[in-house]
Amino acid sequence: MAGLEYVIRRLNWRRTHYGIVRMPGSVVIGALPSLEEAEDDRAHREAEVRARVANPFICGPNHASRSRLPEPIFCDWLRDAGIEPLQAGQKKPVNWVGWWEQARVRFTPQQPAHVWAGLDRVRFFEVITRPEGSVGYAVVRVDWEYNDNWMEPGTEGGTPIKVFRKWEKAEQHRRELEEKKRHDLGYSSAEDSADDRGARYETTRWTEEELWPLGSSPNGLHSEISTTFAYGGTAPFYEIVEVDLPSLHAGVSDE
Amino acid sequence: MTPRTTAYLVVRFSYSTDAWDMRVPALHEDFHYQPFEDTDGGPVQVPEAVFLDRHLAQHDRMLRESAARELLNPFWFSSGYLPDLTTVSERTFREQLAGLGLPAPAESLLQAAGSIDWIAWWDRKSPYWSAEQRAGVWNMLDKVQLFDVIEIELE
Repeated sequence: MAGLEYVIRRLNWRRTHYGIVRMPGSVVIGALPSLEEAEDDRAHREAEVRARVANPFICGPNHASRSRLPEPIFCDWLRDAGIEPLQAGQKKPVNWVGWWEQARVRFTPQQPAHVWAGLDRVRFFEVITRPEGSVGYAVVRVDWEYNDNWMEPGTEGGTPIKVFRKWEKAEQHRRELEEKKRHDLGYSSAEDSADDRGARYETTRWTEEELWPLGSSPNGLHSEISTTFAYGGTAPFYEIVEVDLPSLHAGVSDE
Repeated sequence: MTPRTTAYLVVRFSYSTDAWDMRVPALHEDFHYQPFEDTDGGPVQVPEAVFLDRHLAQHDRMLRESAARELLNPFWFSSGYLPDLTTVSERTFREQLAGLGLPAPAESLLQAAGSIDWIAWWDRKSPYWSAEQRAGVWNMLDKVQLFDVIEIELE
């Protein structure tokens, strides 16, 4: 019988013009054998991202997307910790982003954590429990689109091709597909693959992982300067995405 | 010999998160228009979970759909343009809202063009509704789908 493992998942926050917004979905960061270790890891990651994001009110376009507490109750929540919120106007919504910038200089060391706690929808990571090995690996074709200047891969995903129980087999299949695609596109030699006179493939989707969730662009709008590229056949045409494999792993032979 | 079988993959549709008015996201389904081959066009998908049984996959899809709905304002899709979100007329939509015990949007939510600002309506009112009422509104918006189940080979 399989034991349990504790999986840390990064939630799907995306950059927009005004800040970031949480979309459905998540990415597996890692799995640990005990809940305590996983929770420690999650808390460490959460603190690191909060420090970079700095202002929790850029997370979501309005109050409802940041907290399950209706706004007046959230204000009471703040007062409970001695924080005086901004009063809402008759017509205009509260400018929480600006309020945080002004109020935080007067916060006690404990008060920022109280504000974050009241914004219970603003979480960047989660821990889930699953049976060990209940995971599969989908080989996905990246859906490149030409934007009149370069090839774009889209924000995430593509076209799922096939699912494997073993990562090694998924990786072997991905490599075979990748080689065939490069051959079909005429990127057969090392010179062809590195040829920077060939098609440009935007790789910002992968190279900005470390800057998640804010990215390198101050307003979420990528210019040609802040965009990264691969040339010719060095671009990825397929990738592997981890998927849940609930109840399939038990009793199924791999060989 | 590695067994190969047909399985059922729960996929999430990819949505881009533009915010043209700098205020709220405008969610648009990502679509692959320029396939290298004839067969690979269509909606951009993110694989989530795989099942051997189609019914189990459909059940999982519904669970994921419900959880995802709790994160989003359904009117962020297509900028809240009602005909893009539901197959019923606005009049029927309002009648269905009343059936859920939800009053019609106030006059103050009328925009210059005469249409209702459904995005603001959801933001202001839905935190006070029950989970069933929020789910009821989502169900009425039957053109918005976040997940699907597709057949796939499993090895």
